[in-house]
Amino acid sequence: MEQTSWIVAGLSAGLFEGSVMPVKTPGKDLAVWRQRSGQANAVEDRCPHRGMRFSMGFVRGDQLACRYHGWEFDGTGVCKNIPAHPNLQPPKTICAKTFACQEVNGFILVHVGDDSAAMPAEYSELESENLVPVRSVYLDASIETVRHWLMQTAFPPFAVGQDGPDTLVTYIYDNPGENLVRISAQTGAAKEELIFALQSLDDDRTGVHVQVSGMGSEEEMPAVQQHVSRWLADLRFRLESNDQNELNNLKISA
Amino acid sequence: MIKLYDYPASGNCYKIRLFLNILGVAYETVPVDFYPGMEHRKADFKAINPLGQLPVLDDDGFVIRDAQAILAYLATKYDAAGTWFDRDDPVTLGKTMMWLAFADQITATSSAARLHDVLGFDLDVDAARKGAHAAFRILDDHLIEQEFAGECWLAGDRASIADIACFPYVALAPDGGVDLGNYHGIRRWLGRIKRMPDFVEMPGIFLEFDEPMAAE
Amino acid sequence: MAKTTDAFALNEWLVIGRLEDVTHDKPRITRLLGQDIRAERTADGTIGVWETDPSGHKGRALPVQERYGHVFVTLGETPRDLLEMPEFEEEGRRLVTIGYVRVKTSPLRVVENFLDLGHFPYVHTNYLGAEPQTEVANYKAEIREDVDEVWATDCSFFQQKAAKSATDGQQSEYEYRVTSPFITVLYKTCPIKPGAWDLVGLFVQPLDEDLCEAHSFVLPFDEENTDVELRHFQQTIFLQDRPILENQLPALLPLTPGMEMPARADATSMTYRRWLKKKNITFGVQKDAADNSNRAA
Repeated sequence: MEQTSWIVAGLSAGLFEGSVMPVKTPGKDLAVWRQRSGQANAVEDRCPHRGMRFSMGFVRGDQLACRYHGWEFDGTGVCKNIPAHPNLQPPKTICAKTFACQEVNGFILVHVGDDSAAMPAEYSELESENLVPVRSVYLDASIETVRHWLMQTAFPPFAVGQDGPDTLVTYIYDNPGENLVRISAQTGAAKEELIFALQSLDDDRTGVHVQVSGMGSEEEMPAVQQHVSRWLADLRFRLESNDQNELNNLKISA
Repeated sequence: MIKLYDYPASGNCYKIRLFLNILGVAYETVPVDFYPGMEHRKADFKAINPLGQLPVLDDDGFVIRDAQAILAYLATKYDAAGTWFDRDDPVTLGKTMMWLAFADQITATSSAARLHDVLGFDLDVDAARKGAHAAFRILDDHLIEQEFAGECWLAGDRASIADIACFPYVALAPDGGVDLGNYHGIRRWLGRIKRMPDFVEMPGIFLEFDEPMAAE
Repeated sequence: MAKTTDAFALNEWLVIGRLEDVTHDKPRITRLLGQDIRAERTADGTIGVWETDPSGHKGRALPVQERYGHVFVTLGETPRDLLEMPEFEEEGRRLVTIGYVRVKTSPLRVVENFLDLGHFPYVHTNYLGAEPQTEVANYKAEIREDVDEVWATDCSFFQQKAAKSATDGQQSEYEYRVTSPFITVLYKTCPIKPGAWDLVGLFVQPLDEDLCEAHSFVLPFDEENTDVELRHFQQTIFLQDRPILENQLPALLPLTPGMEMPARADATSMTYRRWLKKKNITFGVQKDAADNSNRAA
């Protein structure tokens, strides 16, 4: 499968300051990390010293350190410290391979392609007011399968919990970008939206990074997140089951 | 003096070593040649624990087996503040017991995969890894939901013996070929546990290195 | 994988287990350089080892040596001699075998890690090293042509708990010796007997190019600790290394320049790689510089 130029690596809210996470793509393994001062960076998951995975490393201040020998690298991939030789300025030839990393409207995007393509416009064009991050969920299914089912699945609106199960819901499905799916679920005057950013890990596994808007009041946010998270777990189970009965319950009725 | 029948590479023994260190309770270890000696399967050790398993704790003559039972005993006897095993609130108690019991599910899967991959034990490793992933999804979903509610621990907003019981074989899962990369809730929880005061590690579990260590 | 065609690797004496791993009740069924093998106790108590076919039938009998608490065999016709360790004859020493640990990586990576000093503060924290004493002072590494071995001398590192017998921190002196791509021994300051060396040895059994079983031993002067305590200390150290070993990319050792960037502290490993290149070894070596693909998830 071809490597797309820009990928969604995760939700900004999921990457804490001073932490590193592994990100798999069909062509390469990455480590995405956040400096203490807040900036997110992406690097090839391999230290240039002895090939150790950076995703098992640790963050010191604004530097990423390799777990094996403690070599430290800044956000541009330059090696700043070699503990075995503390008085030595590391040669400039020692650097980690970095990738452009941008955070837009709550998503972390990484430029993994060899081209010089700009970041796809659809991420910055998302209406950013009140986007609430929920979680990332990973499914044992291809990105095509996941997109196919998301584009027709009946999300039970948060508001319906209060109004009752017979409430009429109007669904609109939208594909604002190749790997972006939006579902809007309208009940009466309330319009709830879910934004799914899809990430292909490999042919059979897909990450889905989910944010919502228009759901519940500010005090209700934890309940909203729980509601959506549980529905995502349900979606994951049904979609992976390959069972027609389970899948039928995902669809909107004709 | 508490005696702990111990194997350094055992995650179940480590639960007790970790908790005793957090409680600040002194103990001495009685090393048992689990591997390659298989001492735990022999008659002398079976006299101490007929199940032939580690850990076993001997507290001044009271002998108790089973890591989760030992944690409950130690919390009751030595945790004066009563936060590690809260038995006053039925809901908290119920949650703690539920996640304490879940630790057995983690041991049966993740620990088994690790014994196969590291020490060459003969068992169905594919089933073990599949079972570990199934358990980790449940654990990850739960931890993420806890975070929504502003709670960071398995049974509520305080760490409990359930967290200690579930921690080791989750943290060691990669030893058995079970990758934790997509379980973000679990990864954040592991980081929290490692940053607890008086945390100690075991081989296969790395310390958090937020700040450079200063000379003693 | 089928038996390797690497002529150098085939003509080495290679470990396949401890003496105790082969009993009358239980043969040791394992693999060496891609070749399935079976080790059994024969009627007279000695150990016999055979190549086996995929259904387990015994084929060619292999030459066997029982030495240093372990069983060694060779798949080749004209093997290089197995190393000599005269310390095994010394009064007062104890041999403790550690048991094997299985690691999914090249056996050459396992040996190279054993030779490394810079990782002590990060991987063996508060045992073999700790911040801020991270500096690796200059030492000497060379190929000794007369014996065809790699040696590193004048190595030194401050250690909080250098061995099971250590009660205080000490400045440990080390010497490293590599006698085969798969065999290495270190000699380190004995904490209790000034002037003497404790030995720690590593025999790596290469099953496949990216799968091995690391057998090791200690041969110290030690009167205080039981065999089990010494064994547990070594297992602790090795199990701290294992997650590192399994997460180096690529798994096979790259010998082409440019893929990995050494520092001066890596002198022993650079010498080891130079020696491997001279031997034209291919088993466990990264084949193609362009084939940098990450190992399968």
